[in-house]
Amino acid sequence: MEDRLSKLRKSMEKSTFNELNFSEKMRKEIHKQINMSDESNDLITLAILQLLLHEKTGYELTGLLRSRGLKKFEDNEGSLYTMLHTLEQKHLIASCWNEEGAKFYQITDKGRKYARRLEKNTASGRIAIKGLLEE
Amino acid sequence: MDDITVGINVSENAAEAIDEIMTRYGQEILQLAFSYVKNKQIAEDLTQEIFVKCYKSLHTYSGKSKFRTWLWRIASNHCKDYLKSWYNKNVFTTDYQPIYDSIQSESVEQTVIQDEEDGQLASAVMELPVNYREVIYLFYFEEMSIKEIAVVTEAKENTIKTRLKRAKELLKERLEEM
Repeated sequence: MEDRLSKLRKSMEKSTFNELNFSEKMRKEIHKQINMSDESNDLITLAILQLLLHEKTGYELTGLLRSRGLKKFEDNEGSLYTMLHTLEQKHLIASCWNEEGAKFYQITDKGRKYARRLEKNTASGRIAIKGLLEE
Repeated sequence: MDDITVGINVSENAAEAIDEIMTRYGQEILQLAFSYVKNKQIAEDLTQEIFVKCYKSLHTYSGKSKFRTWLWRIASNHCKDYLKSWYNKNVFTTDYQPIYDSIQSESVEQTVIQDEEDGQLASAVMELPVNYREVIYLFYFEEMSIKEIAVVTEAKENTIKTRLKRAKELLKERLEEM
């Protein structure tokens, strides 16, 4: 048995995997998906930063993001806190506790600069600016 | 490009890194996925998802394990999640069809017999239940150590040894029946 199994690689490459090919098309598709997910991530980051111009709790933020139509955190509220944590580590936002033990988040100067850059780059930024011009 | 340089490149430019990773591991991951799901289209879809996942988690790669082991663990988990998913159980039936027709064999009789035996071995492995197929594949096809397999499949080394032993018994029985 051991002897036969030592030929497994050759055997599977000839038969089982014969028609499998990691193609250029697949590679392109993966790059496309990565770009898309990066973009939607930027949109959410931007939304969070914009909402945190005034300090808010994570709970308030969840509601406000939902009312902006961002459904990413709908059934997965924990992931918002992961994201807030990441943003805090990047010093884009800062947090503090009040006397009642609630944690508040607010944008930092670095975060403001970052948000402005995102606004220029992302679709929602373009739409927001367009909205302002039309008013 | 060895494993260590992947780790370094990663922090520099994730998009470039993922391209290098795909060049190096694309075909292997596709084959790995196929060994789980036995369907070309699904294996291709899962491979794409695996690399997107890899891209998103690149920053969590600590360099403690080999990059390959780390990537294989993501891939293995992803494929098994798919097999467990509602979608797989209810929407699709993945009928595996061994690709015998396309084997180009020379007319020498011995070669034909050998090919046939090889094909039998491959299809007997593919017929194994996923727990056993996985260890046989990682051990004999990928030539991973028991320790690496334990990391990839998130099981204990002793469990892997037991499964490997049982898998070989099953294979032997089935090949004798053929």
